[in-house]
Amino acid sequence: MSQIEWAMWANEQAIVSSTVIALGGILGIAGMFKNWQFGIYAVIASVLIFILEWPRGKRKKGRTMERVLQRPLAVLVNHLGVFGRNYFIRFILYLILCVPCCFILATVMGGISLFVTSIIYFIAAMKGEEWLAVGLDAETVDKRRPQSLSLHPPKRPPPRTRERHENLGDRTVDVHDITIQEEIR
Amino acid sequence: MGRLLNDIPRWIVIAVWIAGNIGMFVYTYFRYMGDEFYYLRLILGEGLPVARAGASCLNLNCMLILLPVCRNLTSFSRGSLKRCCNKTVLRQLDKQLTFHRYIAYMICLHTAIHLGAHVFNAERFLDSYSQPGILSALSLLPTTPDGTFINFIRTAATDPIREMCKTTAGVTGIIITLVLILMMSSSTETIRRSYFEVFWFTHHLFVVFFIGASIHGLGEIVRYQTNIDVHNPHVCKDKYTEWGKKADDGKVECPLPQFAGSPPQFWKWCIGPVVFYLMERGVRFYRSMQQVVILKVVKHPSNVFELQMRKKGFTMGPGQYIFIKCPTVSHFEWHPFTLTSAPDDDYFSVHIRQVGNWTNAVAKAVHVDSEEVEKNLKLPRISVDGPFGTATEDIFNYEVDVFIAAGIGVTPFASVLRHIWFKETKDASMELKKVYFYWICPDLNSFEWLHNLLREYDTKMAESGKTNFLSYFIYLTQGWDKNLAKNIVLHENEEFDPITGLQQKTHYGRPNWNKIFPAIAEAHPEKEIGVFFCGPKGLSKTLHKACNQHSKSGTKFYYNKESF
Repeated sequence: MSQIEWAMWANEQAIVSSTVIALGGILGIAGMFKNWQFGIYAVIASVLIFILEWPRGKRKKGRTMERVLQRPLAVLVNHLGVFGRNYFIRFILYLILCVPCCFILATVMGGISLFVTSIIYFIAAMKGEEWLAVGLDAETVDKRRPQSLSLHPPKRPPPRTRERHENLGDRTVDVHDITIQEEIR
Repeated sequence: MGRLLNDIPRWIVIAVWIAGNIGMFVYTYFRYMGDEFYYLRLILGEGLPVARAGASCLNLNCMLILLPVCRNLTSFSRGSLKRCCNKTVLRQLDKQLTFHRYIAYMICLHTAIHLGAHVFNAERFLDSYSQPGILSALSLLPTTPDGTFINFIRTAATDPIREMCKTTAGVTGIIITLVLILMMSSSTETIRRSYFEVFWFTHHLFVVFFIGASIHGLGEIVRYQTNIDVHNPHVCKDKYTEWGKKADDGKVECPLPQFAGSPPQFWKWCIGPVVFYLMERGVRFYRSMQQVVILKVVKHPSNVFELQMRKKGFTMGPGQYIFIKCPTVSHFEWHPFTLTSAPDDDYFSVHIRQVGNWTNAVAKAVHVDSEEVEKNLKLPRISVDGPFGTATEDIFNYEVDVFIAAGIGVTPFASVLRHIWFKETKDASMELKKVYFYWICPDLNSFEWLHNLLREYDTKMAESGKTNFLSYFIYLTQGWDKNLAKNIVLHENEEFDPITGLQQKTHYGRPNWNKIFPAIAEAHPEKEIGVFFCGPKGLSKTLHKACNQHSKSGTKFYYNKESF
């Protein structure tokens, strides 16, 4: 457990919100009630949010668990530059996006959920957090450093003398020794 | 096959629960297909039975969801069921959080169903005003001063959002769904593991959820017909223009239909578990008031410190865990830690790694970093809840034990090994004669404290002359670089390993189970060997296969997974 990074929670909240908005939008369209066109808006908005939020940002400390297939989307978000990076922009964006959701009953819940998302992003922005791509910079590091210089751990285990294990006088066969011998051969 | 047998009780529990949900859904669905809801269904269509079926499943699951988190209750029931049930059944009680999660998923599903159906219902209630014929006739009820209404929207000139905000059901519904969404988004794995505080605090919004859900039905919007005996909807639905009017013979064929709301049900379902939960909190409160004496604070390398404590009436088994609260740091947070002391010790201890806000604050409170050792340093109050989890006594049923730990999974073995050692020195008649301990670890940082423990064994075994009792093998999977290789070669002929400082040298790479198991089998012919594992799932499968594969020619390996 490290210092709270609000953006991480905001990101999860945004994914959930986009699902809720999408479900609401589909319901709205299916119901064909008054102003059902907002349902179409909701579905499109939810897809946009989903694309923007699926790639998880890099954590300040520790390893970041990437989502399944997040790399291509991370490249996309990375290309957005400051619009992808800055959480204050996300806060404003979601604040605007959530307004039309509140016009029909079906998407109200998603709209409120998105509003909360934007508030959490506001806290994240105030704490000075920003979105950084995960895993993308690792490739550039590799390019900069030629392969021959990097210290890759050898594939084989280090050599061990045999006597050590024998003088233990154990009835047990030292199985690890066998393993090593096998691999050296 | 053994794996399957291990899992059967779990699948039975899940199957019963899913069947219960389906049964509840179907039962409620058809209950709302009855005649007293005929007119309501005319307005709402399928939305009515679907919403109600979802609601009743919500009742059922909200009743269940509190039970698995009552850790003292499950611990108590495990204790009292010990006599009558076998171990695989009891072990289900250890999976409480998994069940808690499954139930939570089900609650989310039924919330979606309930919410979606009610969106349709609200829209259709409003829409019925603009439908000619019976629908608008129903909506316009009551037409007499003592009549009752069916449509909670009282005017056509409105929109559903405004109407929803006027009702208790609408407002509480929005609030508790939002609370549910927040709880869900903050309990995903990343948040739970990395930012426990966020998870912990938002999860306590469940109080709002339960209060909101209890008053959700107070508005009594779903209204059933009270006079189907005199007003048969099947007969009268086409004669809505003549409702309440006298026919030629002076009789009223169809009096005006009367409606009444259904009272809220949620509290009836949840009162029991809520009482259990309150008792649970009471127990936790009582435990937190009990005095715990910190005997010793030991600082270990890599920001790990050990707390040795004593508490009146505290008994533990090897491999159990406790919850710790430090009121000077936070009044609310309980954090789980595996016990690392043996039941035979006159104290109990935990090893805490300083990685987060809470652990750092606790370290500060117990003065881990202060250099001078003063007697009068004031130690904070600590509260302890537990111990929880099944203690394993299986280890003593075999003559030979193989313990395999991966990464952090080593912590319960610290306690187990200590316990075994105590028993070995005192109890000469112990069946257990030989212990193999394999520890697979990506890197050895932050586990220096375990080396100390193993080193202790080295010396103790040397002293007592029982050098054969415990063989331990450490596997470093991270690999090694040139510097490390040089180091290893340099120290090759020394007695102690250059990395761990232990007598047995560290191995590099992963262990080859297909060599290890036959070798062990060969060393112990015609014996029953217990294999105990704590660590990730993938390795568990491999080990289980290896156990079955090498259980030939008299020697049998018995695989025990996650028994700690």
